[in-house]
Amino acid sequence: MDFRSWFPKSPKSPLNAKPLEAGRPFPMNLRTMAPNGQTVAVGIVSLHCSHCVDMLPHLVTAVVKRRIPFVLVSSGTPQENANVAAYFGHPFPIVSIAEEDVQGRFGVEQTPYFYFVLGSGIVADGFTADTAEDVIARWLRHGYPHA
Amino acid sequence: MLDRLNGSVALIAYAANLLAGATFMMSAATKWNNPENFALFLSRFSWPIANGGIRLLAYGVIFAESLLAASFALNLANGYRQGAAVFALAAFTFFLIRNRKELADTGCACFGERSRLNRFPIARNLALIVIIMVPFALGITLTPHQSAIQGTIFVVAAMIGYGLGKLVKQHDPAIPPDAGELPLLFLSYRSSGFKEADELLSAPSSREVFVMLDAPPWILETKRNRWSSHRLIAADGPIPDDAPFVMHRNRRGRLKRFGEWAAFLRQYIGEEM
Repeated sequence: MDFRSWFPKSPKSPLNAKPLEAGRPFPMNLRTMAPNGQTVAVGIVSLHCSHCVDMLPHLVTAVVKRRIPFVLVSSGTPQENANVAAYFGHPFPIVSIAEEDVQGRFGVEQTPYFYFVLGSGIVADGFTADTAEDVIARWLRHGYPHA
Repeated sequence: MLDRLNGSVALIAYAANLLAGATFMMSAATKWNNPENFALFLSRFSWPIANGGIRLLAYGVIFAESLLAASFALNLANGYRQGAAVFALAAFTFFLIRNRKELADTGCACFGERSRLNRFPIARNLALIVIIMVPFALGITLTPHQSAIQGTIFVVAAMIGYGLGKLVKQHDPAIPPDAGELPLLFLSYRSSGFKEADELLSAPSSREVFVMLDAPPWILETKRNRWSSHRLIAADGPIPDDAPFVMHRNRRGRLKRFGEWAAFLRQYIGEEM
């Protein structure tokens, strides 16, 4: 009997996702959601991440107040996202993606993660944030338009 | 002179026996409180036995721990109990090492769900083996009189411990009257098990669970739609440590707490049947 088979090795953790770098094309067409070619803030969240859940209401308030073009990308189901949008009064478009796309397509290891995407569809910045205020501060530092 | 020497040597045996007895007793007592929960815990791992055998295994472990506790406390079966205890501890350690990955998140729960004794379980078991073997290796045997003293100390200490345990016992949460006989799942959106619970509850099921969810209202609304097979209401307040648990009546109608909520739901909803 092989003694080693009694103590199975723990499987290796999946490869670390690499966030999309500035200058790379963003893997989602935002033009229909921001038709005027403005820079868009994209928030990638999971509804299973308590940090995202805690942050979302503040994010809604902040981007609405500042009139920042915002798109929420969520791994919730379309039905769930429709519920969320309805609850908050449809403040911005919400896009559903599959859980594995968070890592695979958007290179996000930990939600919430944010990208600023230029009107040309090119990534300008990608970052994690602890609060909605951090996201706004970063937007202002870039000098992007706001109210 | 010889008596006094015997007395101080006997102290080593007292200490070792009482410690071993107390450890096995605490371990058994938390499992006796809800043996079904322990069976659910064991069901999470793969065993070379049929599913029905797992309950038998669970009761066997609890029974063995109780016997070991009694034998150490009352100084019975000297010479045999040490061998049995070392065998049991070696078997537990083997289980812990083999399943260390699954246990990394939840701990061993050897002493109930929230005990400090659950930390470093492997080192604890090895230390216990050494402690048990010391008086045996030194050839110390207790006289019947000394055994009686030791047994009395143990029983009195156990009664005090039991009484104190009742006093500081965590109060079970209030059960909403409209939950009826349904199992209640207490869940927080902050819990690391929230995703797993979401997946389990999202599947259509003919067996209803009453869910008390601690979450912002908008999460509650989305989950009310998604968990349509079950009943969902907002929890009165935060769930302690954000650790989910199930409250359910056993066959005798006593309300029991299941820390093994995921295994409970799987079995109850019937995913594994």
